[in-house]
Amino acid sequence: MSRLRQALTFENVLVTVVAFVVLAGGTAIAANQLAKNSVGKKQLKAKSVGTAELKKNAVTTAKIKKSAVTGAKVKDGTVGGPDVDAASTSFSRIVHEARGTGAVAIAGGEGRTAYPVSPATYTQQAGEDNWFFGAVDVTFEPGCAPPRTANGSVLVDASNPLDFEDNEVLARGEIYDGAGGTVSRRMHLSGFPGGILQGPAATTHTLTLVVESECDSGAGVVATSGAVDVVGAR
Amino acid sequence: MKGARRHLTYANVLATVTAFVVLFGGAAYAANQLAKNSVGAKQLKKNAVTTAKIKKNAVTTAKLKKGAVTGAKVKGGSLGVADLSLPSMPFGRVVHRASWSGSVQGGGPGTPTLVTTTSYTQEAGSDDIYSGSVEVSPPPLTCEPPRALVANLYIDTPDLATALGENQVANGLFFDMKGNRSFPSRITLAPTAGGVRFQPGSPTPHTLSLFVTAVCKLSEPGIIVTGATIEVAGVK
Repeated sequence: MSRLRQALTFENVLVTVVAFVVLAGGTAIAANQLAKNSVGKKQLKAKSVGTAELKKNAVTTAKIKKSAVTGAKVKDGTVGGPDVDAASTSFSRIVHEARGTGAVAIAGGEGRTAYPVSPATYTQQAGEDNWFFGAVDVTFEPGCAPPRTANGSVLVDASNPLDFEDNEVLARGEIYDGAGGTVSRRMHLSGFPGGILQGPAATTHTLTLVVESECDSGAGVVATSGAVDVVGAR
Repeated sequence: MKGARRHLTYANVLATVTAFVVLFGGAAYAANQLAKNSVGAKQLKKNAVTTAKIKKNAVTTAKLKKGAVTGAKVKGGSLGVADLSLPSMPFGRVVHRASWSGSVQGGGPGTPTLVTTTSYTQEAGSDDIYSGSVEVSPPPLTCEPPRALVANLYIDTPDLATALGENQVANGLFFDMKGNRSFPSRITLAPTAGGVRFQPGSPTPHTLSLFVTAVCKLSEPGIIVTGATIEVAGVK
């Protein structure tokens, strides 16, 4: 007992307490308070990171390997138009839209009127076939006696749009009215003869929308809007 | 030797053992016995979570940052039509298809026979063009050559008597001038000039009606139609 008391020095007690703290408590502290950046890939078990371990939005572009995402991983029907770089695809699509609004009186008889659409110029890409659709909203006024007609033509690169040649017409349409009075209708324009085949280099074209009308007698045909779509396919 | 024994006190031995345990064994022990949820983002080293550490199917939609999957991340050629939201695609495609089978005899000039009708809705912003086909079966003996069949596809025309040229959106012709055409035969209906329906501002319902007219050398009955298809291609 006296030998034990002899050993009970300040040094021994302190060392014993420190040893207890380090060995018993210290381990627990270490486990719960791992130092920052102390867990590396060596410490992580394979497949230890599950869904719950991943934070929302944690997987950014840089974390995804090139070509890692296959179609099977993509939810059906979720890839939409805005996700696609349409210009890089070979599918047919509208590549240019020219539009115009405002009332324009249409010349009758042998007369022709150019209905302004904008942008009137566009560039056909190399290797791209183009064809053309259009529409003109037309109002026949009571002063234009039936039977009465209006027709429209989409011209491409016409040297003199009001005196065009048939080979400059890429889309055409016509409407007829036999009733009289005020009648508003849409005239649809397409396929005449259809399109421009692809060229080896990008080519700029100018579009003109020309409208004509004919009344049995009198006058009064007004175009209220016009549109031309260019469809491209590679 | 005597000097060394003098330092071999309880305190020195315990302190030395403790130091060893702490420095070499303790850390390993701690790492192998980590408490639940003790490893958070702060404890993880940069790039510690490698592919092998991630469980299969662990990366769900919510874990992906918006816009994280770029085209380069998608395996080339792996996306199929099922993955696409077709109505939102800015591409041309067949948006409506209707088939008919049966047996009708083409009416004579001025009395076209209605083969079939079909309805569909044109999407806003879609230019729609129309095409189709008609199957022609061997004509009856009474329909001698020269003989012909005209197929016309009309849009939004409930009554042909009031139909206008602008309502005709596709047509096709079949001629058998010398009686040497083989049967059955197929007529293709191609879009007419002005046969497009330019993009409407809002979805617009349409009805398409397919009529056939037959002409034989002498008189009716005319050529028999046994099948037909109508297709609408929409381009955005």
